[in-house]
Amino acid sequence: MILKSEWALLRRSRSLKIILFLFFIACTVATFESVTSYQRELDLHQQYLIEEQERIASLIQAIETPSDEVVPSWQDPTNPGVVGRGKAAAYAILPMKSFGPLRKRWNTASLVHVITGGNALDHIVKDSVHPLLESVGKFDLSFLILVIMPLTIILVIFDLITRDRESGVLRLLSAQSGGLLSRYIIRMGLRLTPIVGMVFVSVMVAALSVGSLSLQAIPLTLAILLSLILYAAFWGGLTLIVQSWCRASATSGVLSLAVWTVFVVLIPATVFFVADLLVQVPSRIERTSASREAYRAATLDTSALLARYFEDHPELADVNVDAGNYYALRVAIDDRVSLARNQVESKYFSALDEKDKVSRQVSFFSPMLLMGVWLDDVSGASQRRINEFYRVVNKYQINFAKFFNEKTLRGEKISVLDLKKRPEFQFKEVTLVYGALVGLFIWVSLVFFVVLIRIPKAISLD
Amino acid sequence: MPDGAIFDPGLHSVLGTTLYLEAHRVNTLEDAPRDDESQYSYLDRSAAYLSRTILTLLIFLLVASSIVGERERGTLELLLAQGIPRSSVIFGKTLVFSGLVLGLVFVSMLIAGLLGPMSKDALVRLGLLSAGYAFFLLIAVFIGMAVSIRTKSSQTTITILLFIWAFSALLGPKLTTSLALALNPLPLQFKVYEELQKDLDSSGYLKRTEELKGHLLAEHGVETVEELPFEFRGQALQSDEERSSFIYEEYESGLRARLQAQDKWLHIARFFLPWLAVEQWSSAVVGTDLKHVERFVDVSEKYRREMVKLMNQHLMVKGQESQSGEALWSTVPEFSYVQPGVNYSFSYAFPAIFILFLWTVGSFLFVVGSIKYLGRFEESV
Repeated sequence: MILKSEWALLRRSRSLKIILFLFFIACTVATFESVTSYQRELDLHQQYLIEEQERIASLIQAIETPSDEVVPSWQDPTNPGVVGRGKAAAYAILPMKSFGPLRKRWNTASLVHVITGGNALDHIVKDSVHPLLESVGKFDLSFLILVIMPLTIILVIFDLITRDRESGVLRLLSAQSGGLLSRYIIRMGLRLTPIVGMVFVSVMVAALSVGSLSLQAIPLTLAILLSLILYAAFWGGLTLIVQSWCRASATSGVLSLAVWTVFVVLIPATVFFVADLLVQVPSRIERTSASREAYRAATLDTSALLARYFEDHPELADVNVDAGNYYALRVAIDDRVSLARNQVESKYFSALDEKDKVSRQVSFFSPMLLMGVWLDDVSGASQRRINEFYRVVNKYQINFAKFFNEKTLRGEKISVLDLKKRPEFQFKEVTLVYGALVGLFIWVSLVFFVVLIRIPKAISLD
Repeated sequence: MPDGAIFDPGLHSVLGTTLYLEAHRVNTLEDAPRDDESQYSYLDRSAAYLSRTILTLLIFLLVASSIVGERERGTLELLLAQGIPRSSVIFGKTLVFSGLVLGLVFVSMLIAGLLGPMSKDALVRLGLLSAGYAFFLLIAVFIGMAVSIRTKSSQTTITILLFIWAFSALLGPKLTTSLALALNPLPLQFKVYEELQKDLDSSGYLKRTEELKGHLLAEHGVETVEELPFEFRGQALQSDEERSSFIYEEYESGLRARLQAQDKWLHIARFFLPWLAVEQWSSAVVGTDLKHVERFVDVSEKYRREMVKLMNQHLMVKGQESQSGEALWSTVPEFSYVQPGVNYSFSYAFPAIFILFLWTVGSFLFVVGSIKYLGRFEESV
């Protein structure tokens, strides 16, 4: 009965149809933006791999056809053209996840060299965009879910009770039968269904169109659907609560949007402002200065530097390098700089981890933030994952350099077979955290607890 | 960073604020504040962004029910029945809301003026900034009023206003910038870097040095570099520096040409989206927009070249190579960057304020044109 009457209402109401149509357009645009953005990232990764293969091909050529050209002092004299700044290099690429289209991340690849003068953060390779786009951000699926979906829910729910009250229908209904609360909850559910449905379909279309969905992703897909339902239920319930305090639809609409502003803008801005104050991240200048200072210190006493390098690398104890070997010095300097840099960087990553932890904790203040954290986690765009990526890149950097340096410092020629055995970048996925989903559930329970108390009271006043 | 960056960090927040100046290399901006912020913030948290995005929503909410609310409550009919002219009702309400908005802008300006620097330039900037935001917020008031007059129910008013707001403040800017990028894509950063490196290494330093040596020996009619009236090493470094600077300049101008091509689309979009116009005006007046960032980069690069030239000239003087210590560095002037005057911003951002002015006039005329709708619904009832 309720279903029938609500369907009839939906069919009659021009404004509801317009709202849902506009939301459909927003979903389409967000899906398109997310897919193209993801695809571009994939293309970029593909190009990096092609470039890496070209590098290897050029290295093989350099090995197979030695040149008579004078070897610059910064290159390995035993392997001219093979090892030197930017010669032997590999891309460390953060794997894309099944629901990657949900949120765009900019820095997902790093170029690892043998002689670097820096580490992962210095060699991030990324897409070039207009700075204004980077500043305003993309209109992707995350933005649609976090910001636009609640607005749409408010628009379709804000006069659910107040309109009945204004038109006198509420008085009639309360005189006719009981169960008004369940009636309004069912009506709310019916109005939320097309919104959640459209968003879910958009997410699925995005994931399927980039071909990233596998059977293993089914539990995660269900978890995403559950999160969408919870998030929609939170906003729907909240809008119902607002109506319990308002007599007029206009007031209810204005108040609901004010509540939206509080949860989507004010609370996030405040809690993150506090989080940024609580956890100070060492500035990039500090990190850059550390590596430059290490470089300066290392180059001041080059004779002691080589001795120290071999002390730090007992595996090279049998190697005898001439003190004037500029290439060997470069290797030793690089080692020193990386060491100094990693000390500052570990401070930086610890601070970022701490900030991520605090950010996750404060996100409990707003369901929008909880949903954001959840979407970041499932799309693979979370700060936690990115930090882990940089950490792994730094380790890979050391192993990659070590692989070539051991041979070159021994004066051994690098063969084509050696190149094939070079370390490959591997990233072990961070485990998915469900804390945000639990937080969302708590919020929804709280909201519906209030709904159960407030709505019958508000209805009975009529 | 300019003083006003605390209000509008503009593109500095994503592009960075510092440049490391060194010989042989032209570095890019680093230390972007956005990189160190919490990653879970989905909307810009700067005061400027909140002013042009959230304040407009609040204005819409405030104005939305001004007429339609009275209509729904039946008080509008009463007002009109008392013989109050329709224009008086509308202009009275418009005046109140406009006064509120202008008062808010004025108070903010006053506080900023008292807390900030009191130089003439700063005050002019503050005035221009306030004018831009006043126009922008008035547009919101007028559009909100007109929609409230022309609609029959508050649900329709709120829906329309929310759609206008969501499109103009959230979706429009994002979609426009995405479109500008799609129409004029920028070359991939790593490709540019690779090509740049190839160009820089194209002839090889050793080969280039040999060529220069041959050329200088022939020019001075001598057999060895020791016979040259200057230290060859200094000259070689300077020649290479000039060469690399030229190559870097070529690449930088190529990139800027692409950005300008994207900006052309944004210029067009500003006519339709006042949000983009006020964004440009705000960051231009404060001094944090792309033009100001580029200017800072140019001034820094000029300083870098002069610094390196000074070093190389020192090396060119025979017997001075070992004396390149503290004494030499003390001759290098300190880098100091002076923000350009407000005229600089005005010279290119003028169209933005003009667009905002046109929108203000246009939206006010929209209110005037809506007067005839007042009472129409009541009459039809």
